[in-house]
Amino acid sequence: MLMLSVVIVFLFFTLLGMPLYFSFGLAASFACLAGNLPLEIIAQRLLIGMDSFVLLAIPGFVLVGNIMSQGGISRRIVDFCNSLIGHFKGGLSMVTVLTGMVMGGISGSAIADTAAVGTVLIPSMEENNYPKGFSSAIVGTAGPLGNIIPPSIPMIVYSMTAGLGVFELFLAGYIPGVMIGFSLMVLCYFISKRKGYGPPSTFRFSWNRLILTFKRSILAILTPLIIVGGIVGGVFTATEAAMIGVVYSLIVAIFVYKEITWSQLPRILLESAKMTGKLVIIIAAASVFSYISIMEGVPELLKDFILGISSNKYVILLILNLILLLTGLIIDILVATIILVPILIPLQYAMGINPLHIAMIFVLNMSIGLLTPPVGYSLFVSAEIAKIPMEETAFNAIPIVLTMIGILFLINIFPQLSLFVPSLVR
Amino acid sequence: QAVKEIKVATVALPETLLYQCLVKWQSVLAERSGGELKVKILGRGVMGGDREMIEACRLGTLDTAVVSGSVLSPIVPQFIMISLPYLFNNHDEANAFLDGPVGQKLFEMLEPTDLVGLGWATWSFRGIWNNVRPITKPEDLKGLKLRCLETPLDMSITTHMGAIGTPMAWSEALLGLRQGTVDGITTTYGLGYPLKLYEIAKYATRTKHYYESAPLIMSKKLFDKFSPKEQKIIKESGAEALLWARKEQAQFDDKSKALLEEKGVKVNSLTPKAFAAFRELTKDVYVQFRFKVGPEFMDEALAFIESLRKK
Amino acid sequence: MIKRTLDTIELAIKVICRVFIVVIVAILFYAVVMRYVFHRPPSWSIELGRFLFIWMVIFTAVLVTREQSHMQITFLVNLLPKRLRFLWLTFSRVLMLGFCWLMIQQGLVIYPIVASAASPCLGISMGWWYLSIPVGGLLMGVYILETIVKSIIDHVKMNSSEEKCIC
Ligand code: NA
Ligand code: NA
Repeated sequence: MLMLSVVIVFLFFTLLGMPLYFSFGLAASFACLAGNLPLEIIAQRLLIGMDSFVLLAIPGFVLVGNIMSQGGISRRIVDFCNSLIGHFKGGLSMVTVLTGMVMGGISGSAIADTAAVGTVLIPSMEENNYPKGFSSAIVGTAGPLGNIIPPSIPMIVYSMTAGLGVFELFLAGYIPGVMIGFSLMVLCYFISKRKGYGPPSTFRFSWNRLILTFKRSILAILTPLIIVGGIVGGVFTATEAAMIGVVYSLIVAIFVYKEITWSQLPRILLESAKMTGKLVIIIAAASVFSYISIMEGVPELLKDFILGISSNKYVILLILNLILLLTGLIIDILVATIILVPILIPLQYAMGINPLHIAMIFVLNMSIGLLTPPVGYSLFVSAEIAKIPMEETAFNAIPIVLTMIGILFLINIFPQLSLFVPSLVR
Repeated sequence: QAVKEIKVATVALPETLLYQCLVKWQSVLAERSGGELKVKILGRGVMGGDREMIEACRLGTLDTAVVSGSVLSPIVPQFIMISLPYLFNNHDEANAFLDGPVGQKLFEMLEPTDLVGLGWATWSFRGIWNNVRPITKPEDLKGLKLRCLETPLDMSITTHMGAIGTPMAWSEALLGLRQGTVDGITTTYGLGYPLKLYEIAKYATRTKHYYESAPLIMSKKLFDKFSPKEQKIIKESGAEALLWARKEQAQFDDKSKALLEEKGVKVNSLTPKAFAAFRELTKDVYVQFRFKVGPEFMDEALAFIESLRKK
Repeated sequence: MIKRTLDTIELAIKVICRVFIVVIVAILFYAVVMRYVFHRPPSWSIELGRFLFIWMVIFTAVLVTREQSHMQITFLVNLLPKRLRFLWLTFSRVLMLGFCWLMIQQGLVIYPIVASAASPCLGISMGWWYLSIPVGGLLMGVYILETIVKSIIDHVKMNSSEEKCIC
């Protein structure tokens, strides 16, 4: 009962525009006062919520994302994707999805991915006869794709919260990520064909252009190999991989592509530090909240509640997915991870579901939330770049969200889709 | 009278004996207090790591926790003593030590830091798990990167034994071992089986290079709120449950060789000669930490063990 | 004068944040090289990285507070009529100030207790780690106060200019 009123306090202030850090903090303070808990919890847990070696990967992966988009790396990836599939009907929209996939394989931040893909592709889709609503919705898929295809900041935070290996979680994302990417491309093809989006086909496939753009972008496209290969080969840990990625992409952007000058660097550093701070300070505040809910026994309550409804695994999964999808409407993935994952752990053990499988279900559900109103950061960023109302983007995102839910269904039913790749490196 | 609930936190998984002993404490305490005192266990590290739990108990934001004894050393340096290399030959010596005057003294030293020691459990002795070769003598460790804790003590012991001490966060250590970022990890025997280390390491060696105690500590703020009678019940039941766990752990250590070999791990123990060789190599660690622990306290502790061995 | 001081503090924090993020990347990169190439892993890298990271997060949170670019949901509050929105925002900023005060107060309450322990590897007193909470609370509080004052001044100005128009 206490926690319920605390959640209401939190939602009230959050929806009415208070920064999440403070609405969490206030809700937690309220919980301490009303629940007769020591207020020292706030100061102590705020610090502990930030103090983790795993979280150190965040500034690294954010930096990689920013260096890529400002160092001409993402533009080269767009060119390559374009020469690969740009000649199909609705080609440019498919290119957008593919770029989101490739970018997602390099950067760890969904918002940075959406922004990077959007700034390049929304203007060029507009030139090529795609309506803004449609193109901004497609650009928005870069966010979820970036979360699901590793490296991924939400997966890092998840692993920290659930005590899973980051790397296993990373590997689990490949098949679901590729499935979503390809089904979205098929969706783009059919929508463009039916509605006549895109220019009359003048753009033809050319091997020469493909080879040329591949050569120009190879150093960028290789980045995931270095990051993931280095972890598989035992050269570095997941957190360290982020730093290797920074050093590598900086070298490429400064010395090879020559698109970042030393004088631009301070700005990129500050932007990345701020982006990191924005994310982590909320994680810290959410961890105060989560500590209190664990002390108050919320995880057991939820477990008993759900197991009380049914003991059938699929019914429970269905309930779980519904809860997560609804949460994803209003709550951001990182916050949801800190708060919900500890609550889900007892349930996961009681049901005997593989922790990696649950993790993928969780990340997928919450990533869909990036594209759903009222709160979806990919939606916000994308609509802002396209300069259209968020509702218009959201409306166009409906078929996309439905496609993703379809894949989500498959991921739920077939655990192997999540578990196969991690099992390969055993 | 209303039921009072004591929340006890641990990083241990339910499969470990350390967690089991809390379950035992739960039932013993409920029985002794006629159901008036209840224990609620928060396992799997949901309340944070050892250092965070110790802080929380001191601040009164957490009731009770079982932590690694060596993690208490930043606030009471004398706790390093228990974890000095090759201090104990076996569980009997360790038990006598913890239940004797020195163990008592360590708990007394906790009181000024707002903590009350209720009893001693154990993570058992440390061993080495690796993927390169069985460790039968100090030379076998040469060139091996062993993950160790980010503490000077663990670093020093690992290095003195002859390996390359490689600090790594625990969250990355298991993956690091699997992928070869490190060649091996040192961990206590209590953990090897429940953590399924047999899936990622080929060789397990019972180097027994030091003992990791696991005291049950309670926030003094909370402890002072109980009546003297309740305090007595809490302490007695805690000590009893934890002693049970220590005895079980000794038996489990003996059994685990067969269990692990069944899973395909090559398990070996040190010969008395190798044991003595490692003990000799790590003698310097005593010198290194002598002033941190306090020369008087160290001599007293060493004399106590000496007297045990004479008996 | 006050504005100049606040600007200077902000500038200093920006420099610190840039330096810290570079040092964090450099330390962890160095650790990989030392371990993988030279087989001599440093013992201090993880702890120093965490220490700098905590302070960097707190400092950037201060910057973000001044810029008012924290993660937040603004579209509902933007629907409110101007006057009501001003009142509500001022009210919620005062509450935010209250939370900053809690950070300072509780941070100082726990300070003496945590400061008696040192970090295991570098031996930095845990006080230096936990100090980030009250310091962060203080700086965020200062900038929130600035925002409140500014918004009140703007509001008054806007109202008086509107009245003039009506005249
Ligand atoms: Na990604
Ligand atoms: Na949403």
